[in-house]
Amino acid sequence: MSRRAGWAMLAPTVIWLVALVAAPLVLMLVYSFAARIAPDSPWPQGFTLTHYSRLLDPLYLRIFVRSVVQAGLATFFSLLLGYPLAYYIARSPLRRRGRLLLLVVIPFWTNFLVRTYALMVLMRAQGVINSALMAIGVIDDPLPLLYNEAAVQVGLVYTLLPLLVLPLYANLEKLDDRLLAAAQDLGASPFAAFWSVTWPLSRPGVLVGSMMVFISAFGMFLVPDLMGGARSMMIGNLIQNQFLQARNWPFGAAIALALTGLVLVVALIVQRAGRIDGGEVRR
Amino acid sequence: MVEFRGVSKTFDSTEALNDLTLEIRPGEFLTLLGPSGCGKTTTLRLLAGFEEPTSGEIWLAGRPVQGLPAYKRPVNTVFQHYALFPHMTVFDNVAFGLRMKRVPPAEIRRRVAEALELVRLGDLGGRRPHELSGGQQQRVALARALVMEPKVLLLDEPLGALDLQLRRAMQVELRQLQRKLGATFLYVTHDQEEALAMSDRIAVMRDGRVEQVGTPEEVYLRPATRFVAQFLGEANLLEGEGMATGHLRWGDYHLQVNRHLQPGRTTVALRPEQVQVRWPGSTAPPAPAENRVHGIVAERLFVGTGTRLMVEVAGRRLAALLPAGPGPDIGDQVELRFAAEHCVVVAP
Repeated sequence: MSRRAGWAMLAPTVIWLVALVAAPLVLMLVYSFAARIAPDSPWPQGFTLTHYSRLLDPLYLRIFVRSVVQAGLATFFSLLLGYPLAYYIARSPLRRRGRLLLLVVIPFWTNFLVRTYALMVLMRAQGVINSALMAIGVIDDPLPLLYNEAAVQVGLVYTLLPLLVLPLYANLEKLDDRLLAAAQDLGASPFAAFWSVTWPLSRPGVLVGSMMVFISAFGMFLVPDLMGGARSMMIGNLIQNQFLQARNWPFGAAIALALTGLVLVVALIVQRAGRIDGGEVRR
Repeated sequence: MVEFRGVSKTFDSTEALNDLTLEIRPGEFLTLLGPSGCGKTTTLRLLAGFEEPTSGEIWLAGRPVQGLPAYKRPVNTVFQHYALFPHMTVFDNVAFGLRMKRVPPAEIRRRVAEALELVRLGDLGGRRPHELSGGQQQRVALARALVMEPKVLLLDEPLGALDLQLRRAMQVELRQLQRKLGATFLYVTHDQEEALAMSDRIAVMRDGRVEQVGTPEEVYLRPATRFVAQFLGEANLLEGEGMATGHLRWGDYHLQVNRHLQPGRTTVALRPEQVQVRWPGSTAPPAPAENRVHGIVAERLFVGTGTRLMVEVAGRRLAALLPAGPGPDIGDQVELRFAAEHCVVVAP
């Protein structure tokens, strides 16, 4: 293929990315240093670093830390639930695999908002779970299942689980059975074979899946907004707040960029870790 | 060392192994030889513990091994595609089994070094499998299994992925190694040349049964069945009628064979290289041979070590292998001579 033909094929994507990703990012960057934004003009005025220094306010730092913890926990629980699931699907007979995978993907095709509301119907005070528990007499008063950090955690894991299961499945599915046979032949019990062969070889899948969940959870605003309480605000909600309620676009832009920066750092760390160990795994 | 006693194995109603009885003696190199689907790999996997027999018993070193999972059996396997652990160094691959047995680290270092030395990979311990050539990977797989000092080493077509030259070299190396260690090897291959070159004994298998067990010379020179005669090397199969005189009536000829014949339909195997060819210009002095037939050369094919002739004898064809040098042309009248001792009666 000639160089020109190559560029011709890339051009639509490049234009698309420049117009819709690069340009807004640059705009955000400019906004984040703006002292003022006049109501009658889209152009920012003045230059200041106060928006960034404001990020260090304990009030906002706490939201940052909470977001990291929530996202980290969501990643951990997704892994705890998703690994056995991905493993089970990958080890199923070929015909059943497709069907099981479909079951994982279907919720993904369903509207995010609808799914979250559905979950709330289950969990609210007069919801399915509480009603059922009260009906059989386990509890007398409804449990506070919604509007707290645990609820946010449930919502995050529920919505993001497929993001972990799919890349992990893709990795585990490639696992060579003969390696497990070799491990057993050399005296490894099925348990030992898993920890010495399957787990290290699935690390690239674990890393990619975990990163997908972590990054998505980190910037999530819908789940904490709907299912969280007054004190479960995450960084996504903060950004939303600044743009829509406080109308402080420069500060919102500064938070958004800080979030993007942090996510990039995480991605780089994961990529490096994957290269050291997983990079050589490919044959 | 190992005894298969009436072992059968059925996979979803297909019979992979049918009433196999076979003994592997201590220190011998036994080869299971047969075409794909003959049950040779199943036999290996049954001994390794990857499959359980449907019926029958397997004894290893004086004990039945049924129900013992693979990781508890004192046998180790060299897999067809090596199955080296890609995320581990050569050293860690070879050390894997010893670590599973919780051997002390100092002893692991010593034994792994010895094993790598044995397969002449002493200085490659730090490499990853994907940095090695096929032949080197093969040796790592060998070292990884041998370091465990298995009662029987199982080799599942271990040379199948190597090119011809390397294959030949590895055949010699494997055989020398086996002699040096005095180890018991159970070797699976579909390559008859490999089986003949390496084995103490060969078990020729077909359709889940053993057709014949014997030394390479025995199975080659005295094939018990048609199948064995044809699978190992090339054989003319002469089908005729056994006669009361002990001869085989083959068309118009009465051939003398090495065994007294029962009356009835009989098949005799004859190797092409045992057939002597005489033609008008031939100069070599004729060797004594009981049987002589006449025919016309229908095909000749130069095969490097000699010339292969197809000779039409009374409407049937016989193959003969002529040593390198002058020979008859297509269409020439020739006389074929062969000794009675080379006519081996085979079961259908």
